[in-house]
Amino acid sequence: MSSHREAPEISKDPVADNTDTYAFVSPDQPDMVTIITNYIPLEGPDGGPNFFEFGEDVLYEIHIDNDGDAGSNITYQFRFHTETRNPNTFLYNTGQITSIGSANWNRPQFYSVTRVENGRSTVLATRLTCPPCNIGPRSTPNYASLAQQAIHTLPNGVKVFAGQRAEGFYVDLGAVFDLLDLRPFQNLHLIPSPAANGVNGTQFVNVHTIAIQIPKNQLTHDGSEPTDPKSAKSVIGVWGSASRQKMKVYDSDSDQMVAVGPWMQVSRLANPLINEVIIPLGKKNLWNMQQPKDDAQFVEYYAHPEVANLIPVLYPNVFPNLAALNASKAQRTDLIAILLTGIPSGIIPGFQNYTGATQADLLRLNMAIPPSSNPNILGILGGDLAGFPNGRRVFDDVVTIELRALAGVTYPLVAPSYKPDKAASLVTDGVTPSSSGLTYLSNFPYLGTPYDGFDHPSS
Amino acid sequence: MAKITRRKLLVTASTSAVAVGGTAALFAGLRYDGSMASAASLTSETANTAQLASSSSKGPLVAYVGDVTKGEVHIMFGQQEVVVHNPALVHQLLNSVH
Repeated sequence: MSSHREAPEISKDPVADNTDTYAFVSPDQPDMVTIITNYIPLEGPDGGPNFFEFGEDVLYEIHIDNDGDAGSNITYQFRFHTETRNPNTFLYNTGQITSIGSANWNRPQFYSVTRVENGRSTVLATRLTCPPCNIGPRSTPNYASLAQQAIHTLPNGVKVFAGQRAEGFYVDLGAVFDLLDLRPFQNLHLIPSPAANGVNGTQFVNVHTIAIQIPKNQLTHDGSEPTDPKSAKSVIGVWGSASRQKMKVYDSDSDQMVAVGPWMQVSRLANPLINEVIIPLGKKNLWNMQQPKDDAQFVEYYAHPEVANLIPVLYPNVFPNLAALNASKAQRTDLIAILLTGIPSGIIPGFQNYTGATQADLLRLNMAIPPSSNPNILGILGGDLAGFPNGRRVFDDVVTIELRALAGVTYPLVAPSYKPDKAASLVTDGVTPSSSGLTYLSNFPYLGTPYDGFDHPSS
Repeated sequence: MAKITRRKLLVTASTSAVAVGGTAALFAGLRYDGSMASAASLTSETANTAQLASSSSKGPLVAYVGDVTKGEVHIMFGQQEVVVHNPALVHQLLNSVH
């Protein structure tokens, strides 16, 4: 998965588990950037009576680096507060919830938003309301309208939303973790079976989303409007994180957990699939606790990625050029550039998202690249400069993009004489939004209406 | 850290907080309400319950000893953590669980 349950420790702490991070120039508001961080993986829509909610004891943060040092220049902090209106019932709702202020919602959740810039904190809003989870037609009729009420406009034109959304990330989970099987090509696998269509393993589940839409000039280092794609000032690095206080104790007097001590980061996420498949098992917990500016310690895993070594072994005689590249022990400087420093000018015509020599896992967005009127889910690989790895849009096919990059299609960017295998530009897990029936919104918060517990398709 | 002096922490720790970790860590979150009577036996210094109740500081305090051989006590209160070196206190804490 993109980063769902990707490390041993965080897999036991879903409320703090960053699952996906997105950053893109808003297609319907091109003067704004939308950043989304998702948490709580694989929510079953019918998971009551205690439906999913953000953690009151978790510090959720969105970080923006705008000066190329991989440190956080701007941080948006989100803290949640939950109330129980009627403690004498087991019901999540005691009647229909037709507005987010409804007294029938028994577990309303509220949150504050704080912007921290250069060490100075400004509380932008308090007691903003989340929407309830999508329960079913009797409890949450007309859910789309209900969720719309949970979009809040803050000072300076910033918009926020925090609540349940349909999972927008798609991948053939069942296959890829079965020895990197890719169903459309499994007839060529070391342990073959007839080729088949991909199956979306994250279909019909929900996540909890924190989405924020910010005017571009509130993100640049000098407050300017980013209009020149060639300018370093147009590029920001983005990541999400979750932190918990260092100590947690069960307090028998209050019958709840009590947290004390300094905040410790337990999860982070920028580029998809990094801690998932690039970082080895023994380093995953450590990686989650590190800051991006310290990512040089992990560069060997990008230089010689395990997946790139596995592909020619698991698909014998299909990737001879990749096998030779692996055997040469050459460093995958293409992956290091794309994922750790950004792509410098002069490599891809009209594009750069280079943030400097500091190697850091950041989702790098060149804000001067306008949204595409004809988006390609393969992003830059598909000739669409507004897509991954120029930031990431909600519908980008990051699994196929990264599979193809790992299989060698991007290596000619740094070694023009290298000829990728023919299969490298075809490899895919066979899952797309259209093959999965995924729908997204055309406006904020862009991720689709969550599946309801009563009649979602897997019920 | 600046708001809590080392002396204040030592007094607080020795009068109310107990947590000992060795190969298996134990945690104890203690309140300022004097409800943890067993901790009082750890020291000859005793705090007046009324004094604690009137303190401007509220909420749980947790002390953690990650390795008893080092004699260090990590004291957490609010969002702060202070490390004090006090082998005698750690020895007392150990004795209380043996």
